[in-house]
Amino acid sequence: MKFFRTSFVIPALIIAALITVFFIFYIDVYLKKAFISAGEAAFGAKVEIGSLKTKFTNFSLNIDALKIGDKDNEFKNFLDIDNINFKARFIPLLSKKVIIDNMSIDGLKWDTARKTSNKLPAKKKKDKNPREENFLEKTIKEAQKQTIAEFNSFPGVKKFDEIQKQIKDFSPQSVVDMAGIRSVSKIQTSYVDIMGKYDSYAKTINSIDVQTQINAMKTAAEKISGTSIKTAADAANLKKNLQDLDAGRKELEKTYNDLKAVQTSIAKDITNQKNMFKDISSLINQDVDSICSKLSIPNLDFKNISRMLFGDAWVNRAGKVLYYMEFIRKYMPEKSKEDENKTEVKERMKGRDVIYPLKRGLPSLLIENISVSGTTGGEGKENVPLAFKGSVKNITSDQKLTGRNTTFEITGDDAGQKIGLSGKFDRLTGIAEDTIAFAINCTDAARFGIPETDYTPSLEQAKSSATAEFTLKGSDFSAKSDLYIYGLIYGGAKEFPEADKNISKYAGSLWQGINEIKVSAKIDILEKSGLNLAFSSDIDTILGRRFNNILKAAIGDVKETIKKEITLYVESQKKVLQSEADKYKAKLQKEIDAKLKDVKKQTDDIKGLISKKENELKKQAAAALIPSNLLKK
Amino acid sequence: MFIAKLIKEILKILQTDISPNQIAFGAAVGVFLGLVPGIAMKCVFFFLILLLRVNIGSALAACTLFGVLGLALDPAADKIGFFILNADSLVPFWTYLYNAEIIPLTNFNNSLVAGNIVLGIIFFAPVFFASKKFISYYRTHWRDKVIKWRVTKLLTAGILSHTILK
Repeated sequence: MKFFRTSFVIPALIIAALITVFFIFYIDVYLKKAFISAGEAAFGAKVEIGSLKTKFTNFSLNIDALKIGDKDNEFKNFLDIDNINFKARFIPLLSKKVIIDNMSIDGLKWDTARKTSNKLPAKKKKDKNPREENFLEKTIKEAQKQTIAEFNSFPGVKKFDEIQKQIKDFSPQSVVDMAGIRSVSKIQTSYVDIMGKYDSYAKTINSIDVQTQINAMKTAAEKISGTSIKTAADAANLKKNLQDLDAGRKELEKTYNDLKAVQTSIAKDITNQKNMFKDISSLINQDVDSICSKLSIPNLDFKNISRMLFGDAWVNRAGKVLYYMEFIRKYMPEKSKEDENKTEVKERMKGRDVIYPLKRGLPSLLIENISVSGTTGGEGKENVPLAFKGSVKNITSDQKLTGRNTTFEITGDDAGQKIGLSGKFDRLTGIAEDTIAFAINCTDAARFGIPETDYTPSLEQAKSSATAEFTLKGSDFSAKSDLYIYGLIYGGAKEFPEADKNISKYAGSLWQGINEIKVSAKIDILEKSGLNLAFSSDIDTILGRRFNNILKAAIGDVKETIKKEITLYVESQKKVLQSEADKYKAKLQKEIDAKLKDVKKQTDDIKGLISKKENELKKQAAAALIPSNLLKK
Repeated sequence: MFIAKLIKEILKILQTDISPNQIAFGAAVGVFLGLVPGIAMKCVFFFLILLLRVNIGSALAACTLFGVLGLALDPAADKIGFFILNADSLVPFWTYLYNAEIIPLTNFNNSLVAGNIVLGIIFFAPVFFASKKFISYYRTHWRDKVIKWRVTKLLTAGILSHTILK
């Protein structure tokens, strides 16, 4: 004791004892507050701890009932853990190093329901520039927007309903100006043409003065009929008159022929018009096509329905995994080999720090092994719970010091359901590479969070199997997944009583007989080539074909209605115009017939008279012994 | 006031019969406290001063003196420290210490810390022996004269000095 100051040692020991007592009785309270505060800062939602107990004899920590709120869902827990227990090594703690050999996490659950809100009280906003999003974050948001837009376009099936309404309420007059329809226009033009022709025929008929001709002939005939042959001079005079009468007859016959020609033309025109009406049906068909092209009949791209249906859910899942991969990357940053071996000189205000390579030392954080157990069920979850267990190995701030990657493997097999989750976070190579693989079998399809619509089968009773792999290498993110859903039933109107019946009918036709879906999805976000989102599914072809058939049938119905309406309109127009034309034609026909009859009668009379008079001349000549040579002359 | 307090403390040490060894050892350890920068190292040396039966007054006096002197010695200490921290033959040793537990907390890998520890080691023995010799010489030749000085009386007077120094 000669070398030591007792007046210092005793008070120092008393102070140390007091500090120990404080730690034993009060450290748990402060540590709990510190954990909650750090957790809330990291997760952005309320963190609750049931109890926290430390033991200084073995430096162990035991946390019960840890609940971490989900910042995106006020009444849900992101994580719900029954118990966490671990023991830290003492000596490294003095060097600010946390080294844990074994840790256990029991009763791990997620997405469990909360009774109270997990929102944190609003904090004053700091005048801090918001963190700029990196390339991956920006691109995944872009992909999310894209898939949401695609999902929203899915109710394009609704357009069936629009078609249906168009059929029901269709009126060609409301769609186009009927005068502009070619078939109607043709009818009208034809009417104008024929009426013009009839006008021309009327003029021709009127210009032929049949009565004057007949009167002249009658006068001449009367004159000849009263002539008696007594002398040779009478005979010569009669003969001359008969020749004049014959010339008049020929003139009358020409008039007859002219009238006959007009009559023939009218008949020909009627035939032509009838032929034209035969062609009008092809014009009506052309008009129907033309009107259909003007209607807003949908042309929906149904080639990639799987992308529309599963795109949003898939990109959201990939986005969530990427968020956690980046979260891990933040706390396990990559470090090159050069960084590891370099002796670095840092200039500072006082002196210079010489940094030596850390070789066999311990990292600032090392958790050698975490045994995890939990369940996929939990409060507020309706699915059949599946118990799982596994381990996480080598969580460290510097893998190069431990020489091992961080890995995890979790498996569960219960009541026919199987789940497998494994991952590797590699910081041993120059480029950081994180991989998470996931496989699930015979699980409820509803848990994939694919939104229910009136147009798709319900996933309520369906089961599914899925595999997925997510890789973040450097700044390149890629993910692929295969999903198999079976036991699908499209309930239609029964399932969605509030849905439109027409939509249910069309959607029912689409999904009839399809009770399973296989989808392969891929998303790549590469620094060089940007975003690449690919989906393929067996339902794409089937539904695409069915949709087109339904669309064709619906368009066919519209066409039929349009054709019927146009034909009716054309027929009515034709009827009106035909009636007008027929009246005109009948009038002309009547006039012609009357004139032809008169001319014919007069011509026949004249012919008879000439024949009679010629016979009289012959008889007279024979009776009066008129030399036959004179008669011959 | 600090200077007056320091002078009073020094006079107290010189005028009393405290062992010269305790005073000299305290001064020698105080050299480290004054020279070596960084809270961690200062705490270590301060703890040693409190724990060991050395004279605290002489340690604080040496700390003050070498603390001021250290400002002038820093460029030299930086060079010495940087040299030994990068000496090829010593790098494995430093690397070992750097990878060891707790030791890195002392910031030994800082050029000023290392250089000043070297300077402290260099000054330790001379300060110890010089202090011891000075105390003996002072007590033999100067103590009786100094005690008669009015300033000494003023500074060492119990209540009066306390009042003045306040």
